[in-house]
Amino acid sequence: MRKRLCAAIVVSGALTATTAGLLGTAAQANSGPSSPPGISADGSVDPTRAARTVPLVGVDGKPVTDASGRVRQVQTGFGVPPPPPGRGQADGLLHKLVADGEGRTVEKVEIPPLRP
Amino acid sequence: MKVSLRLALTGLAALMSVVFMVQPAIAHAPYAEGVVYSGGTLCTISRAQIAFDHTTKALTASAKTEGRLRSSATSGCDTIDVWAPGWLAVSFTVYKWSLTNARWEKCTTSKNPNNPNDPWVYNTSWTWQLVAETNFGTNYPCWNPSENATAQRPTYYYTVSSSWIWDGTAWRGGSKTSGYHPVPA
Repeated sequence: MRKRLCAAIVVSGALTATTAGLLGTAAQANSGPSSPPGISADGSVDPTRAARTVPLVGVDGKPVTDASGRVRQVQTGFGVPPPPPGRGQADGLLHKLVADGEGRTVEKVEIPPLRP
Repeated sequence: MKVSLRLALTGLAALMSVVFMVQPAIAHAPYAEGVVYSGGTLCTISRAQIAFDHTTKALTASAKTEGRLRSSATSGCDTIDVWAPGWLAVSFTVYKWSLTNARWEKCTTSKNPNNPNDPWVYNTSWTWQLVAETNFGTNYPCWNPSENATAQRPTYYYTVSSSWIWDGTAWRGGSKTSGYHPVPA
């Protein structure tokens, strides 16, 4: 009888510890971000595995919803730019020619953040 | 006396070295850079970066398109060349980690305020490298103060670049994804 009681206490303790561990793990996982799918350790993007659409967040940090209240999904944006004829012209942005670390000239464009 | 002075100065120099060495880093810039296209003689190199300045608390996202040529079929992307205006294109997308929903959400892109539907930036000079950058300062994009106050922990951002070079018939390129950085940190 005593042995059974001891065994029950041990099993109960183990279950409690396991549950606490799992909860702890879940809490830990919730505290930081997970890696996006389709992204390898060197930052390469695998378009076949990367998410095609993702939720859109607004300037206020809240998800953007459509008329029916569903969170709007948008494309991840790994697309191809439109053909270039005539596109290498003034675009209203500040294009600067600056020297890189080895003194070679590169073109740098400052894009002001959009504000609501 | 002379030896003592020399020892003292050496000690002081060593101490100063240690002090300078233990200075905390003032900026962190997780980035990824590499060849995203290599075909024929053309190579497209892309870089994605998210930078956080721990002194000013400013957040900056940037992306780069770099063109290279291969000097031979078996060589690497070893030769610098320049491309005509409009032949290099770059854009970036900034993603933010939602503390509420525990998922990555698309926040903003390199859209031109003069044409908000167009995220693409093109070179306007003959060049081999085009960099697009937005400094958000401390007005972090898609920021929800109540979310951070409730969660009592930072959120995270990362950048995805999109880098392309026109080879006369088609765009050649691809994307890189930076590491992510907590904000505020």
